[in-house]
Amino acid sequence: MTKDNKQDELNGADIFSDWENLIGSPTPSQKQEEEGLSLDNLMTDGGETYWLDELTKTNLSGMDLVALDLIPYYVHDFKAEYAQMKTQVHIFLLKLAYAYRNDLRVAGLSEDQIDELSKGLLPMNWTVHLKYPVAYGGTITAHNFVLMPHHPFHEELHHFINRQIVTDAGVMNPATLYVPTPKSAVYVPFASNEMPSKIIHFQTMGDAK
Amino acid sequence: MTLLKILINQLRMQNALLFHGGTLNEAQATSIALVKAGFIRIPRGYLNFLNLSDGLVWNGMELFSCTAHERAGTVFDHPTLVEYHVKYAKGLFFAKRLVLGRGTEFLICYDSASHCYELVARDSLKPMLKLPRFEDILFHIINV
Repeated sequence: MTKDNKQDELNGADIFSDWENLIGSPTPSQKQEEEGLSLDNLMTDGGETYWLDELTKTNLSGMDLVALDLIPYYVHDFKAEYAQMKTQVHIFLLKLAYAYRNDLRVAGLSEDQIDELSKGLLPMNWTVHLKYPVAYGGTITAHNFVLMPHHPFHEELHHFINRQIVTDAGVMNPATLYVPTPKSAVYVPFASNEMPSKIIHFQTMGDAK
Repeated sequence: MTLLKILINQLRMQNALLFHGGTLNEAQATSIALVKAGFIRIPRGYLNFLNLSDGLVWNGMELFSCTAHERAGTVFDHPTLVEYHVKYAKGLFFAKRLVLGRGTEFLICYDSASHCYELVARDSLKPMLKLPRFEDILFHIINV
């Protein structure tokens, strides 16, 4: 055996022993499993189970958590979106007030509040929420709207979304957004189980589709 | 008559809920509370508005006030600037911005970096419109 061959053999042995060490040493996930931590348990931020759990801690009862995928390269046209929102909200309120007056009464709105809706105006502490954000495939039309109280529900809903889009690096849209979604066109949390079927029909059929 | 007073009169005629004007002491106390909580001071343009009406509610839009306005018989309390920021304005985005009010899927903010008032889309927190004066933003919301 020449000196060079001996050297190669030594190097090979070194490499082999390193490789053995490498295989023998536990991977980070194995270490976590040994310590009783699984990968699922570590996925606290961003996982569906995490946000489902977070939703139960809010006041947003009767809402489903929907996972929405970001539309790649979506570019907002804010001027057009703002104008469309203004027009469509007006139409949505008129429709609710004229066609679903009895249902609105059942949902807990007073006569004065329904009168305001019939003028195309929002009553005090009520707002129109866009169920699915535009960048995640939502459209600015009546079937994507829900009438809901500003305080605390609408604010709390957006706070839930903000927690996903406001990061330490700034504001960015995640690839998947978990959005609490009301089931009907009017969200009244404490009466959501007694919501009249017509309002749900209005939402699912979507006259403005 | 200033543009701000014209707009407030216009809103009054459209049945907006207006309040008594706030005092300078109330505004100062609110500014101090905001700065202590890690936010920025109330900008001059909005102070002028608060001097005329301490908050506003109209057609789904709410402009926050210095003092709380409790409304008997309803579950609704008009939110104050401090109350809103402490409860909801979390994260880096709000560090240099003051949220002055909210509307249908937009926030009305003051950006201290650009010294502009802006409408911010609620679902993406991206500025939709930037204007130099508070009355310009108010005009845009009411008339455009």
